[in-house]
Amino acid sequence: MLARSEEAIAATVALALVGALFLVWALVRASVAMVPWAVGLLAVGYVVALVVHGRHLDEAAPLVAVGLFLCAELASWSIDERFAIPTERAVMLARTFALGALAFASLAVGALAVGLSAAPIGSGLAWTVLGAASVVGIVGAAVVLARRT
Amino acid sequence: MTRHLSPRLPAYAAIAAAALLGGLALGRVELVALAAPFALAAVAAPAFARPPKIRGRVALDRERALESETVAAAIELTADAAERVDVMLELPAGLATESRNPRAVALGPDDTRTIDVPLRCDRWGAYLVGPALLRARDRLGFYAWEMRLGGSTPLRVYPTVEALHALLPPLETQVFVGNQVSRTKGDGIEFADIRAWAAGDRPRRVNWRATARRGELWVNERHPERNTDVVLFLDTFTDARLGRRGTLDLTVRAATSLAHRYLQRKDRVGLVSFGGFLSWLLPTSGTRQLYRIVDSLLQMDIVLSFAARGVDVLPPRSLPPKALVLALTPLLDPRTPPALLDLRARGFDLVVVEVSPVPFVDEGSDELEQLSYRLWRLSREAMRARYQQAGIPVVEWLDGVPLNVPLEEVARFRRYARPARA
Repeated sequence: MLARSEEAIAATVALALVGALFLVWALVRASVAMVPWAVGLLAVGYVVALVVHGRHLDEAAPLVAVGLFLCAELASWSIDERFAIPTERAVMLARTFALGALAFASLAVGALAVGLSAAPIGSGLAWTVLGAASVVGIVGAAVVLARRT
Repeated sequence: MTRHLSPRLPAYAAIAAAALLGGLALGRVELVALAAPFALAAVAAPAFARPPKIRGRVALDRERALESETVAAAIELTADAAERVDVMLELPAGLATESRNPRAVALGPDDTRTIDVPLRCDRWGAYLVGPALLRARDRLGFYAWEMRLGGSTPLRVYPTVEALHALLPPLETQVFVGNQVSRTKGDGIEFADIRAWAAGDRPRRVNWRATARRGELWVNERHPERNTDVVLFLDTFTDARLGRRGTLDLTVRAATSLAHRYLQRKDRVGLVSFGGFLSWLLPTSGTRQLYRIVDSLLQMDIVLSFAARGVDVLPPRSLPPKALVLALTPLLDPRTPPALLDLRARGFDLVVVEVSPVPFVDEGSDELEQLSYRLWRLSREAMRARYQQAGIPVVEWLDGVPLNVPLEEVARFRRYARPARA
């Protein structure tokens, strides 16, 4: 009930605004470390909006995700280039290509996830357990990677 | 090689984990889609990151150059593969480049690249160029590897030599043959005087015109050509500096020009660096001595010291008798004037070229500062008067004025003021 209230909509807008301001501040301060958290705040705003909106599936979620990711990456790239180091065209092209490929792959994975959820392939405890196991696996992999790095 | 991880990567992993957990808790598949790009980036970046193997070296086209000349530096790079390598050649102050430094290049597998960095030698000095600093990154900039390439390559930048029209002749010459016409009489080319013939005089010295007029044998006397000893006495206690110019720069340039010209004349030139760090070169002649002097000048620097110094700490051979001692000093340190007066008292033919610090000192804005500035100028004039009273020619040399001007001024002074002998 709280999620559907007017206060929740105001909180969504406020979160999005704070996220945007945080991103601008990160760009001005040239802090790469702050950029993902600013984008994270924007994502939280989107999630709150989803919850406020109700149970309806948002098909544009993969696009939003890729948009947020590109926002973070382009902001980081602009901070990386703040020293105006003359860069060869091949270097710029390689990064553009890598970023494009990653965004495209993410879009495909997100669309697949959204599409599978809409497909009538059943539900129940088994799917929930499988989903939970997948999440735990991915989180575990992320933790292992973080510890390795 | 040092590896750095971008702070984005752990943050992306955390965002992906939070979104997946949130999706599970709220039962929203949109959160899984939201996590997808961040999770992919967190997985793909370490999977594709490979530390690059970069080899190479930094080379200069020569080891010696003159001020304002350009030296070509080349950074040769070979790598198995590196998507992006930021290359920067570490340059000491005094060397500059107008080319792109740093720059980012891409290196393919077994690709060899040579990056040319033309170096402009702005200031004299002994420099170490390099090493090249490299930072290789993966394509998305999640990982960076930093390393140093090559060692430090020495580069000596010699000060430019000013064309001097005339040099200061010493009052007395030495016994060796040179280009300076001695005041003494002997075998030489320059006519000096005539005198009555004495036993042992060679017939070719007979002046037949004077002999015919006087009715007895008279012979010519000549001035022999001798060399001289010149000691360049540099005051390196203090340096008055404004921006890129200072009294030490002027001193070194003047010393180089003087050493070059005196050695061209077959004179023996020595060097005394009288400062916080005391050093000297015994007077010798020849091209090798010129290189010794210039190399010594390149390493000259201001070393702060509170030790009381006098000329008695110098070895006697560094100041040979009858040598012309040319002191180049800004007359700023209180230890220099007594040392110079001591030299004069010991009978050396001393000339003081005051490398004026005045152009490098700000006059001040308020009344008190300007008063202090005027008092300082007056105290300097008083010091100069003290030198002149002691029979020491002292001339002020201002930045931007050719060195010929103070030398000519000293020559004029010495034409009328001869040193008294004790």
